[in-house]
Amino acid sequence: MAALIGGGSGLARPGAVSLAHRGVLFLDEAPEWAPHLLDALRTPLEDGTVRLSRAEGTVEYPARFQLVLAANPCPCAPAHDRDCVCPSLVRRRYLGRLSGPLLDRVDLRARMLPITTLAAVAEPWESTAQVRGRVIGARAAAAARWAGHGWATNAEVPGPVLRTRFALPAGVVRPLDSALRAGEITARGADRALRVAWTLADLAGRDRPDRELVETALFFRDRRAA
Amino acid sequence: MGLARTWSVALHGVAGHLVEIESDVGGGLPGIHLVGLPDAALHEAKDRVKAAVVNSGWQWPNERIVLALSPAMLRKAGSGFDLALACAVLAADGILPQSALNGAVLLGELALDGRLRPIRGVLPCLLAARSAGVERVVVPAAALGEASLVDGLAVYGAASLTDVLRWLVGEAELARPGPRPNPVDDAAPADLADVVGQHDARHACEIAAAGGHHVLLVGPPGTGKTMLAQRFSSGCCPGSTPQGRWISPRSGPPPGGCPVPGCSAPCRR
Repeated sequence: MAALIGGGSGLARPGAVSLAHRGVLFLDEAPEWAPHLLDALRTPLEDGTVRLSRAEGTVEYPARFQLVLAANPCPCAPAHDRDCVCPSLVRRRYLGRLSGPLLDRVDLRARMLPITTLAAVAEPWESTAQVRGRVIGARAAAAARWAGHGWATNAEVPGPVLRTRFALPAGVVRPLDSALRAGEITARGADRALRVAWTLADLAGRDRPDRELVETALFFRDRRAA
Repeated sequence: MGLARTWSVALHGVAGHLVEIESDVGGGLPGIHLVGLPDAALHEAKDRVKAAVVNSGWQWPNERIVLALSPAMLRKAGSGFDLALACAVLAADGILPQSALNGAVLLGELALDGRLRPIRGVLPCLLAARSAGVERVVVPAAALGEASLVDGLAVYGAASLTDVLRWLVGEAELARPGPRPNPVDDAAPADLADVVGQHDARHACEIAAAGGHHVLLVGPPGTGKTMLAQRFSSGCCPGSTPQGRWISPRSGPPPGGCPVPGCSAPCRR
């Protein structure tokens, strides 16, 4: 707990979440972490700060990090999921260690597919330089849009702002409404999907998201994907 | 007999508080008394400071010396007060004029031979000094890179106590911060092209990098989850934003948004 969130005797010292402030906190093999540690991330994920109280006083450290989680689908984790020998309960319990409230705060979920041919290894895949160019462009667009408001990235923008001053037309956010009505996402999830949609618009070079981008954002939020 | 004042910064977490250090030299039996809730490391400053002053070629006043750190109720920790303590003693002894010390914050740990050693938390110290209206700050030369992240302050880097004393009386210049370090442009050895396929996951990571979103990658082992995450965090997530400054209370300059070492190993309950 001390290493991840911060702690120790006397005055609490900063943990990994604070050291990763304005950077990436990468938790590999996330389900192997004790659930109470993962759930301790929930407050810093929302607040961007972590408050630690000890006998000598309370300290507040900044902790606005970007969380990247990686997980196997189950403990046995064969190359192809169909070969899994885990009982269904074990499978459910394994990914269940990533609690619902934690996953609700994760904006994007992606499933990695098994590699089926070695020929793919020889293909030229997009390089860091290409992707970085697009990412920097999108970051600049977002920074320019929020410059007057004190935010740098879409992830920092409060939900109410996206729903009021920067509200999208009803037709565009209709997929979010129907997902909310069906219970597929929470209200926080809808806000987070909205933020992702704005990022998608930045990446696509548009000035605001359209319905298709909102649907893409919802697709990456789908819990069944993970 | 003399009284002098210098200033330094005490850290409470990452919140800094300006600390005034008063030095009273004279009267009574020779000895050093440090008051104002110092911790063990700060208590030991007495011996470090005395040795550093003597080994830098100055006379240590052979009188009773009282060093008071105020606000007295605030706990003070660490070795970063050494430089301010040394200058306070020398000024009280008449070697330095008080006017040279006014408006300056002095940070740094002294080695016994008078070299200035880097300390932890230079960044929050500078931010606290700036918000307290301080104009000049001296930091150890090794911390100049970190110090360059703070605007609105004249920051000087010194390598030794002698350097600082000569600068204070106007006999020498101190180093100034160079251009800001840009962690993203550092060597990025691992390239995204190494990751085979995974169109969806790549796209998700790209969106995450562009908007600062959180991301979860699920998949069988050996498909490149870790590779992808590491390449994105080191190559595409800008860690060089001005706000990146806060990462440093313990760790030094931001590592370009790399995964946090020591926490990559899972711990089983």
